[in-house]
Amino acid sequence: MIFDKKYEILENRYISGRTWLLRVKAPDLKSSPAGAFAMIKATYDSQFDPMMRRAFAIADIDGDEVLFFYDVYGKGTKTLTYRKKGEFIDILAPLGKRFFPEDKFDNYILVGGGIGFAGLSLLMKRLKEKGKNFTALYGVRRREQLSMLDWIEENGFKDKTLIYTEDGSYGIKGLITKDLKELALEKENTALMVCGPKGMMKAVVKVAKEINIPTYLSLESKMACGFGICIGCVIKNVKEEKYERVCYEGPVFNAFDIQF
Amino acid sequence: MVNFIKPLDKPLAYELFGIKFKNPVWTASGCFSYGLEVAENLYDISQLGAVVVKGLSYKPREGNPPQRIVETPAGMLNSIGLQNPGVKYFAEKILPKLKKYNTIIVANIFGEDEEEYLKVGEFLNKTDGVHILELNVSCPNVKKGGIAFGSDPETLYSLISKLKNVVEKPLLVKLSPNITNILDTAQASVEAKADGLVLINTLLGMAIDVEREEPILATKTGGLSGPAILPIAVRMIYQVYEKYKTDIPIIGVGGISKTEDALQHILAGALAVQIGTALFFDPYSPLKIIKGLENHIKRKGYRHILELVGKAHKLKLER
Ligand SMILES: Cc1cc2nc3c(=O)[nH]c(=O)nc-3n(C[C@H](O)[C@H](O)[C@H](O)COP(=O)(O)OP(=O)(O)OC[C@H]3O[C@@H](n4cnc5c(N)ncnc54)[C@H](O)[C@@H]3O)c2cc1C
Ligand SMILES: Cc1cc2nc3c(=O)[nH]c(=O)nc-3n(C[C@H](O)[C@H](O)[C@H](O)COP(=O)(O)O)c2cc1C
Ligand code: FES
Repeated sequence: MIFDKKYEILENRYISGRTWLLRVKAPDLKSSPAGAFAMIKATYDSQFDPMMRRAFAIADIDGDEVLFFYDVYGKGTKTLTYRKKGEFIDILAPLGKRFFPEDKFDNYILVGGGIGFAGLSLLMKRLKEKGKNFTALYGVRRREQLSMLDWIEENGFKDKTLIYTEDGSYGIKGLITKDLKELALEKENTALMVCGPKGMMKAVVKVAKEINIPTYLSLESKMACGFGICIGCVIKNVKEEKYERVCYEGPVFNAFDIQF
Repeated sequence: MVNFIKPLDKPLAYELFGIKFKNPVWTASGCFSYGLEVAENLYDISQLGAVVVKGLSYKPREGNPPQRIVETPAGMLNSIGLQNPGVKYFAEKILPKLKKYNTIIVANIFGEDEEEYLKVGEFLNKTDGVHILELNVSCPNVKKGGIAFGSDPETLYSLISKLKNVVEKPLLVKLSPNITNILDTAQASVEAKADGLVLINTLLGMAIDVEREEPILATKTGGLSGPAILPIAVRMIYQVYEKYKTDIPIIGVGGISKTEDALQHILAGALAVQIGTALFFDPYSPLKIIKGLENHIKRKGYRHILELVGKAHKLKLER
């Protein structure tokens, strides 16, 4: 079941870097799977600038409340920053059909680049609930881009998370792939769950291929509908030699199945 | 009204081509996939007037490489490239599921040449569960050196005539707006005995990324749709209705996202409307428009929606 409703905004505020946080009251979305996303319409009814909804990962669910973290790039996300507490906002969710395999492996390494960490945060909670062993890697260029640091601390994941900054302004200096190979080979039956900018994901997949370790990517794509009806958001599945919809056959894909 | 259409008891219901329609609100081709995503996840699609499925060719088509879509002011460009699994797969794997939802099914068809068009037409004419065929002629004719079927009246006349020989189901022709005079292709369709006209398909456009300094879509150009094209669709429907009045049914599509937009199409001369791009940002829009039309009729004191079809013309004559 996909809900298309107006939900109350409880909080919409700037955090750091280019990141904002949006918290809404959406009891319908309580049981969304980790990796699911929402299409949010930044404008009010019948406003067409922008007209399309924008895709955001469901970053956390706490009781009736759902949390999103969003980076401001263009018209859609800029307009979203204008929306105020107490207003109601159009949300279509939960979306996606294929998610991270939460039960298949014993050990998980979560690799989140920048705002991509918001695509993994709910998974951390679910893995914890299931008693799975996991480590999260969180990589950014500079310290101010670590916009989910508070969330990590508040949810008690500080000692489960390794933080990388390219300029060394916080945590470990270097790229998120720095220690990936060693970490991935440490334990049997380990898999990588990845979300982040394309360049970072490519680097992770390169390492994964070298050591032949199961890897799942949560992908981004330009989307019009977000629920499978426009066929606009496709990625090439090289195994089956066809285009698949990121929003409907994904957003999570086996890294070795797709052209990347 | 006219001989091909008969009002039924409910204010939005009528019989057209011998088919009973609950209401005049359909979904547009390519904007509803094959209907299953919405039926399985959102709402009961039997509430719709009809479902027009994504364009079908004889052979499966991979479609264009991404990026395939980009938002533009009050609209969007798409270059999906008519990705589809082919008509056989549709009939065997998709249609049986879609049929269960008890809705009128319109198959949008296209081919790279006449031969392929005819094969698809013949196949779907025999396919149980498909009620109506909608001919998409916005595809270039490869054999004729890339002339679009939709822009050359003679090529179009020939295609429709041949299809009419093999297709008994109602055949609608969806006209392309990328032409100097829409009446040229409308005339060819009427002469070739098309059962109805669908206006309009997308308008050719382009968007450029000013940072990368290149076109945004992988295919460079794409089809413009959405609220931005509403006045163009209304104008073309008005022009065609003005010429043919009730000689041929017109189905309006282009830029509709709310009741008032649908009413503009209807007043211009459309006896049914299709919702396309609006489905992407407002999946429930067809249901809202159905309700909106009911309310409008009641408020204005009409008994049936058909009283409004083409009314904008009559008003002008009386003045
Ligand atoms: C399944 C899915 C989940 C997503 N989850 C999140 C999330 O949780 N948080 C989040 O912040 N974003 C997320 N995104 C990305 C988000 O949808 C886009 O950033 C957003 O649509 C941009 O809209 P806009 O109108 O602001 O920018 P646009 O007007 O669309 O783009 C403006 C410019 O910025 C560039 N741009 C846009 N987005 C990005 C980006 N993400 N990275 C780099 N350049 C970009 C564009 O190419 C363009 O040049 C997700 C995307 C998908 C498909
Ligand atoms: C993503 C997309 C795919 C489309 N695919 C088809 C198609 O396969 N066949 C067709 O005849 N029209 C296709 N169209 C055109 C629409 O059916 C419709 O004519 C057009 O979008 C104008 O209506 P709108 O403004 O309500 O979207 C497509 C449009 C869009 C946006
Ligand atoms: S965004 Fe429309 S099919 Fe994926």
